[in-house]
Amino acid sequence: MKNFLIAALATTVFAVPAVAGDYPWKPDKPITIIVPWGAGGATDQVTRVTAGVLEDELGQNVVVVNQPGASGSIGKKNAWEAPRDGYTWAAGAPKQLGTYKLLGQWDTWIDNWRLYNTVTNVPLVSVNPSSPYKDMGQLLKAMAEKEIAVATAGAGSSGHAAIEGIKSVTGIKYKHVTYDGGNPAVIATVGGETEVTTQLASEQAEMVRGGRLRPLAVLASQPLEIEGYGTVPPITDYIDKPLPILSTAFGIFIPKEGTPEEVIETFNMIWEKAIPNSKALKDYALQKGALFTPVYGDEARDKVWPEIQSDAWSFHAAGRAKISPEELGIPKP
Amino acid sequence: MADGLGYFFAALGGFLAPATLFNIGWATLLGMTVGMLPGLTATLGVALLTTLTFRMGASDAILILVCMYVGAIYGGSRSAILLNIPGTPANAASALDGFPLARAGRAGEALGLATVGSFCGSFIGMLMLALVAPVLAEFALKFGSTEFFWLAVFGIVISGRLTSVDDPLKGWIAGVLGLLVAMVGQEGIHAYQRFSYGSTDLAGGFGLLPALVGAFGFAEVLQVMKNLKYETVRGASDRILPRLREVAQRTRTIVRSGLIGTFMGLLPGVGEDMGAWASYAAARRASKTPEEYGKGSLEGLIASETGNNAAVPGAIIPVLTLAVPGSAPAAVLLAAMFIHGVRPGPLIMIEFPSFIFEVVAMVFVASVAILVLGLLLTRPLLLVLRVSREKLMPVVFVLCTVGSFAIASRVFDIRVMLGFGILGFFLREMKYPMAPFVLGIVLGDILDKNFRRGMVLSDGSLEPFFTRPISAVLATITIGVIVLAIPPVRRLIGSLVRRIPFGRSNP
Amino acid sequence: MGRKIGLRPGPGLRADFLFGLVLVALGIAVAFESWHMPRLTELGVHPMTAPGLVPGLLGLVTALLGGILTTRSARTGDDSIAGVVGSDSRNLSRQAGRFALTLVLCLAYAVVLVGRVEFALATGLFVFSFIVLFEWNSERDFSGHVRAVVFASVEAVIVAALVTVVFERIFLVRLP
Repeated sequence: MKNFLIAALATTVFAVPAVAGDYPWKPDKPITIIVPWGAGGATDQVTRVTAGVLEDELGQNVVVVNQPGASGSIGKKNAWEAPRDGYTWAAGAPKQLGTYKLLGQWDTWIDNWRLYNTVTNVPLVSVNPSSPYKDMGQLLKAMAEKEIAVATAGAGSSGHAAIEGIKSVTGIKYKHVTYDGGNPAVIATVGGETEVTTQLASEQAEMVRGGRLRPLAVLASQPLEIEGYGTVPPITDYIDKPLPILSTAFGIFIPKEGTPEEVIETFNMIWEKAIPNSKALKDYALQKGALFTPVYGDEARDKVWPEIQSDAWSFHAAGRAKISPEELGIPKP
Repeated sequence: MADGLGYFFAALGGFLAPATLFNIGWATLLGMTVGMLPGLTATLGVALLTTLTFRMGASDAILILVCMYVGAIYGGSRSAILLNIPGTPANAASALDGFPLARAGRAGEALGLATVGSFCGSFIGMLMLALVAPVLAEFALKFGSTEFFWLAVFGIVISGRLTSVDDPLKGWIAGVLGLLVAMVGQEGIHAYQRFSYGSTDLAGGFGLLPALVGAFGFAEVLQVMKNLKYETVRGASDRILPRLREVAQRTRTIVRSGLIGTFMGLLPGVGEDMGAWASYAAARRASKTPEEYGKGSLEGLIASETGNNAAVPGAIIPVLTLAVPGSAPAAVLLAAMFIHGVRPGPLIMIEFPSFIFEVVAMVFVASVAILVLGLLLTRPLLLVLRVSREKLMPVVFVLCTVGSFAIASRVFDIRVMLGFGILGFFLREMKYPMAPFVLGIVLGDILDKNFRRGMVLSDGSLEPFFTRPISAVLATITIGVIVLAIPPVRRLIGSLVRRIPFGRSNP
Repeated sequence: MGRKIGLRPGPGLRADFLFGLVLVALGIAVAFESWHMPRLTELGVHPMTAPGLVPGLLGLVTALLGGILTTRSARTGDDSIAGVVGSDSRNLSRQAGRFALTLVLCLAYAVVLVGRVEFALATGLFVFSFIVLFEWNSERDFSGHVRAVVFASVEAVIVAALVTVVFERIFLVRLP
């Protein structure tokens, strides 16, 4: 029985693809990607898809480990403190790397990390189908008059930033109701505990497709296509003032200092070819109502920068920043 | 429905290929191992295998994950019975009766019956999954913040009451201490760091698993080694296969626990733990021999094991019909389904009509696998009882250390394990049960956030906590359990009951 | 391990009475700390989401339960110190000795060795010393000692190797 078990395990653990791409770096043990959030969430899902692509390319197991806690800083810190050999990565929204210092949570900075982005998520305003609001215009009108309960994944979450963004340009009122994550917030709206949710489209896609949520507007400047539902109009159709940037890029990243050159070189090559052509990631994005935005290195940093600016100044406005964004060299957007 | 049956048998037939049977076998065994080792949980196991089964076909990969999940929740009962150390938090209730049975030389019987209980639990959960999944999932949506708040309070109250039958006060103190422990660290609404005094480690809070491993594992090591006498159980060669009659006699308990477990499984965050506790409480309430509970009641053991395993298919129900996981391992399972191109959610019956029944078939094979493998492996596991404590306990402690470190690779977690072990040891010496303490750590966060959320939604009014229908029921039961345990109230009721016939005869 | 004790403990041994007081103190301290937590009202958040709300209430509940425990213990004089049953002071000190030895060995392993010494080596050392120290029996002759030590070494090596391999290779867990 025991031998059987060991044999079985051996076949699984060592069942790595024989054919791997030709890269300067050939990892000889499993690579770990730390997801600093719980299993099953948005970061976790996209990271697992990414890990699959990496496994195929590198011919080595890529293990996804969940280390949640303290707004994702614990897991990222563990990646920071790991040996700089290319075997430990962190995943998540890189924009957070630019705001931890601001919030007094952790002394790290976006330029200490090398970024490899995969998808970008956008917030979506949806209501419970039994609510009277048929389009964003009606909802905005109602919200100008009374406090409507809005479900988000908590202070500082994408959903919170979204409703705050709308509030900042329209002056609406709302009652902020926070949940443990995007999914629970969406479910609370489906279940009718709250009337509105402004979480990420990716967290709402299934419910929108199933007719359990009515999407009113996407917080972007162009319409959003959700497979199996159709097109959701952009918020700019209803508000003509400029809104803060509310999209969130996701990806994996590694400390710049000390990480071997061949590791960086290898991942650059993967992000140059394999990732942009990955069917798994493309399908994932389309199903989830996310944008597929594979970029790396400085280009990725440039893409993330406006997100950091936007977040930093809204944290500042909300009184949550421990130091001024200007001190960190983050100019007002 | 006929379609469903067709899909089910087609899927089942597909699983009979030798390669698939082999996968079922190793995945279930690995799951059982993960479950048995304190510190390694079903979540970790499923997450690990998600990565490793990446390149397999969707149905093979998901089958392996389901086997792992079912196996892990079942496996936790092994160490609970043999060592008094529940392998996963969900098995804490199983240790209450399982361990005394093992000490009394009836370990084989206990392990065998727990296996049958787990099988029945999975089976009942599976039936519910096949027959009424959409209805149940809709019902789960009715659980809002106030209901979750009451569920958390209810959990602490019944667990405190049941683990400390002679002195519920101590059970509740243990539970409230657990809730307090859960308050340490960053809270879930404003990310304010409570009671952490500038320490990053404390800001992350005390991990549930290190605390569990410490309070059950390390405390048990200290306790066992402290005692002057220790008898290895030699005469444990009792029968393993339960008689059909014994199981049949307990049909009511099994069915009740299975239904309660499935239902608890539906509710996110509460899952298997409450499945076991609520089933155990209900079984004791309905029992003809409630005094045996906690001292080695086969009925109590079967109730808790049926309850926690029924929660597994229960947790899968909302995964399939709403794309909302009922538990942490189910969340990983959901992620795996997405990765393999299956899109669970409200449209699953339209988009992937056969998939629910394929999953039903998977749960079925996984249940059969735990039954067969579990019973086969019981005999070798019994050898653990023959090992002298000097040889066994250092190994247990090594596993406690690795287990608490394994989850997050934080050295701090090892310290937490040690701290909770020593605290747990002294609390146990003073007769405080550990199970409500650990359940308090599990439920603290749920209680905190849902209470505050409920208060926000009601603008500070407590009214909805008592007037929303499901809340009202939960509140009544919870308060009833507390009030009935207060000695003066008990005496009062006792005297009232005695007085009533007297009053009637005297107009 | 709860056994009902026959002897009435002296005032110095009143675990319930004292622990009740500890709980009252803890509960009040927690409630006090919670009361002084920021309400974050300046952020414009709903007052009912104040971080101190639930811990404060739990602190009060703790103090209440502690108070009940102390009062009950004072009133009935009944108390519980498990493990004292039928044991004279010699047994008590032997138990304390065994407890201390276990604690020292475990702490030495988990705090001192792990993380500093190679994991497998630390584990081997711990298992070996644990078995040898606890099995030490002065009545055994020389060959008995040798046999015990050999057995302990074998188990230590097996455990160290097995745990390292299983966790690192199969569960892909990082070891300290």
